[in-house]
Amino acid sequence: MCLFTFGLMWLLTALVFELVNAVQLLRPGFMAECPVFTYGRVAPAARQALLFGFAVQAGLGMMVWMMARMNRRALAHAGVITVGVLFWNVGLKIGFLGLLLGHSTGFPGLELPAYSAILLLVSYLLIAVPLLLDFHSRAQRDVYVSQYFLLAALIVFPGIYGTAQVLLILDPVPGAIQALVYGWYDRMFYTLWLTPVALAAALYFIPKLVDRPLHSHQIGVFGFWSLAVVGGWSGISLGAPFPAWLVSLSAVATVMLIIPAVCAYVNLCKTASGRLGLFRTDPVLRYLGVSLAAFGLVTLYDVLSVREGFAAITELTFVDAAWNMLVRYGFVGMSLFAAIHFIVPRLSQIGWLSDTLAKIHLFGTITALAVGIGGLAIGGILQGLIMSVPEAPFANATRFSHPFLYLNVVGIGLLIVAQLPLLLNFLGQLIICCSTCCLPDEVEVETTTTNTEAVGANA
Amino acid sequence: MNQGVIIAGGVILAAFLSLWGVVFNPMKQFGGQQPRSIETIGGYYPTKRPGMARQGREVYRANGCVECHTQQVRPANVSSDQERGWARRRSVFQDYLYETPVMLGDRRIGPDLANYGGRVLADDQTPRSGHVRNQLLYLYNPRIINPKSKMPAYPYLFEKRKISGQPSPNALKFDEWWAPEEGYEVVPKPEAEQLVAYLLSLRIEVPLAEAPFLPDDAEPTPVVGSTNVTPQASVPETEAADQSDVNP
Repeated sequence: MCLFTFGLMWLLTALVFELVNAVQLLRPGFMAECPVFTYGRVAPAARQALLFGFAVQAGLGMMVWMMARMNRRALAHAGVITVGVLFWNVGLKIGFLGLLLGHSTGFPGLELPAYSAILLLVSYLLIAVPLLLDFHSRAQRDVYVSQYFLLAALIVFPGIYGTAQVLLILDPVPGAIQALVYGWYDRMFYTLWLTPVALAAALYFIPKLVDRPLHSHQIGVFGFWSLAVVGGWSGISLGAPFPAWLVSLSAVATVMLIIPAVCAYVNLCKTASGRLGLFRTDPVLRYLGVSLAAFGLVTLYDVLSVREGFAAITELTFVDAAWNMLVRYGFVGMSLFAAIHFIVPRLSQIGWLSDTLAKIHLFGTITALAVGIGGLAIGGILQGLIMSVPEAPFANATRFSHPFLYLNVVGIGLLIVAQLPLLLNFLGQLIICCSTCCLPDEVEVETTTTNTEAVGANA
Repeated sequence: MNQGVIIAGGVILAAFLSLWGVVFNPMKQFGGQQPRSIETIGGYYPTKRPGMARQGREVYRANGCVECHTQQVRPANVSSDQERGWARRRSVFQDYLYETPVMLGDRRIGPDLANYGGRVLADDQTPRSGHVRNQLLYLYNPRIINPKSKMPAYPYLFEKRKISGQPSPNALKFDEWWAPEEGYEVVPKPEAEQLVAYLLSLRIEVPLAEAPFLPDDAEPTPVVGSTNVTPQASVPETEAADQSDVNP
């Protein structure tokens, strides 16, 4: 519960700072007098708040629940995990303030200063190691497909984060290799942390809610390994100043990201076949439906981005910003909201206080994302089209994309408003949960479960 | 065999393989690069940035300039960067030899800066001190030079203070609309001067074997105005301004 609580607080923080950023794009004088709120400091701070504050914490909260359920064993080291969570938030808060004070490392995705990064790394280990020990001593010896993805995320993060810190901060590699390091980290974080967490949610909750076992364990595992193998190689932009062989190899890997996407879609569609109507009525399935739709769009964009004509228009424009928003809020965010809506009532042992608030949150978020992402995408395409014409002054790219940035402001504003119903609902749950003294190791593990994923089940 | 061990081992191996391929392999290929002797310039390329410019890079990093500006001129097959006049060749590994952190950037809300110094200083009608003055004014408030600019202002890199005795030779010279109130002046802090030194040191004007210049018949028309070269402000070229030249 505390992971979800901190996660939602950081989500609100991130959104507020993103709104400041979005306004500054239109009104560059907004808060310009104060160095703490200059655009270049607020942007990375908002990004880290969203990724490390909300996505990682809510994702870990989901993992704690799911691992306990699938291990068929209560959480054994809740105290250590709680200490880890507290230190994670302390480290992130220190880093967040450090960014506003200008202590950014300058590396995209790794902006948090070293004094914060070390705290985060240690905190993560305090959370991940107990979960891995619990997995090791699980009662259920077979491994579900969702667990493959969750284990990958648990194991990979300290490795990629620690490696990036060593190669960039502790003993920096020379020259443009640094760009390869932070690009590699960024891509690994997306393909082997964010994507596995979001897919694990779909692969766990959908079979549960449609009351059927997962269609195919083998397809699920194949999808997992294909993601693990190609993920780290993908995503290098065509225009980057890197060796041509590497750019080409990365393009192939990026296209191959279709494989895990297709595996996930086939598996889930076959699982839910004949019960797709539930995606319109069940609140958790609605979130997951939106998440999977966003995943499809994200993968499609990735595949198209290896084409020169497409890259020439979209690279380095607001289209990239739209892609990021779709990934972070549409794909990963919606899956985490689904997890929160499923897990929290079971922790507090009472349903959501208001289903209406839950509906307002869902539809408000979808509307906000449509407006915000749409505005960025259209503005970005115009930007790219103008920049591709050498005779066109650069200022025109800014001028013509400018009106669509108003949509970005509206979208983020709506997103903030749309989270308020969730926060109200969650606050109600938190009060009930705290008042009934609900601790993780007191959660009962059902010995008879219905609608669970069956390992190795085939149609 | 324990499935958990297989999963963990497989994931770690996959991660390491990608690290080897994406980072260590190119490092083996390019990590040993050294500055090259270039005949056309009679010296080596690249050279380490002088002290002020190196400090300016830290100011650039601390203020997150990378959020809006890239430092990578892209190849002709995916961009018109070179035809547009941003540089005569694309960026390559050699250009970043002495850079840390390498701030390629991933968004162009403002123009690319890889050859910003090269573009600005190409105008040899204006002395360097005049270019420095323009850059300082632009940082103080970009709308002074370009009313339509969307770049944030950085007034906190400057100090507005009461004039005591004679005005400082470093004080910015404004048109009436932007001037501070009577008896006050705006002088750049060291961070502002360092940042300008860094910006003017950004040049990739040296042809390399792996990145030759565009052919002469594809020489781009220099683009001036409110695009990618800061237009000249009406800064009076006084003796005081020349004497207070900011050394890179």
